[in-house]
Amino acid sequence: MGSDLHKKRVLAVSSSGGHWVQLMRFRPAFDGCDVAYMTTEPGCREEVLTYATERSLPTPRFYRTVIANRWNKLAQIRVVFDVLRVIVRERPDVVISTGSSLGFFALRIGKLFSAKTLWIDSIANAEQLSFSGQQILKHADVCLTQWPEVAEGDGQRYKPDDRRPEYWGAVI
Amino acid sequence: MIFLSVGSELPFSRLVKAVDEWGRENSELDIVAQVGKLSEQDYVPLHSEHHDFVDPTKYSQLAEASVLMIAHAGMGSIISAMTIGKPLVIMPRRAELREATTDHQCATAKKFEGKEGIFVAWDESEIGQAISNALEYAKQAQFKRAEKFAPEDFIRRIRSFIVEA
Repeated sequence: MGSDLHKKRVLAVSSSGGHWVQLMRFRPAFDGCDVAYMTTEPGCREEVLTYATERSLPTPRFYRTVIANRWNKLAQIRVVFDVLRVIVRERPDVVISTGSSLGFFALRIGKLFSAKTLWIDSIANAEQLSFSGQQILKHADVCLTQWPEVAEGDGQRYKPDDRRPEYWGAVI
Repeated sequence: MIFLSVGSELPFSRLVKAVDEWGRENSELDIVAQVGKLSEQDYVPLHSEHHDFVDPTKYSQLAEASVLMIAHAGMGSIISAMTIGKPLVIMPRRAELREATTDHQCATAKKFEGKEGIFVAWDESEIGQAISNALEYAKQAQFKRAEKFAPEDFIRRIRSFIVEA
């Protein structure tokens, strides 16, 4: 793996379940970087540790926070504090997320600390960007959809001046 | 064994009930179900072993041991079935029934319907037929597991983004 990546600090963030499964599918992109993960399920730790061992990579750091949906304001406040704490500690060069609101907060706060931010909207959102994806669209350095038709829009979804998500391919 | 899962966010009684009742009539296969945190109005399976949640390791073990997976139309379930190489029956959650916040699972199901080894039940009335089709398919088909990681080109572009940061 290229030595050009050695100094890059990557923070990869997602809620557990489908978002995490998708994040795991492109993690070889982080090989050789200084990697930290943040998610909501403690059981995910083993998966990233095993991968690092198998590939003789440095042990990634692992942070966990609570599950917060868009109606649970108290949990959201907790998530914001946890994300802030992690970003202050990690000072990532890059923050990457597949969703959902946890990833939104990580990209917004990462941006405040001058990280480059990449949002990869879940492949589940085949007709329009997710709620979090729509919110992050104008803030992320790059916002991807995994469906070409969502990137192209249908002529009505995006106004001429609106920023559009890009399509680079899909995790599967 | 059939492995049923509904994800960790919300219960999905309509699917759990349909599969549990199918299991009562078709007892030759055991059902192991992950049903979420049930509240009073949710259906409790009577004919299936069930767990609120299973951790990722247990999830993989159950999926590997199954002959068929049944799930809500979530991407975690779809990708897991494709990489483990199991046939999968999916039923989408519906926003109007308060099973999800949006109808994105219907969009997902539309996109993945007809893909190798994936069978869609659009509602609970189609579960029995979808399971029969999937089990028939499982007998005949040699499963090709999907790659463990995303296509190389996708990974390369993300890597370039990181390098240039």
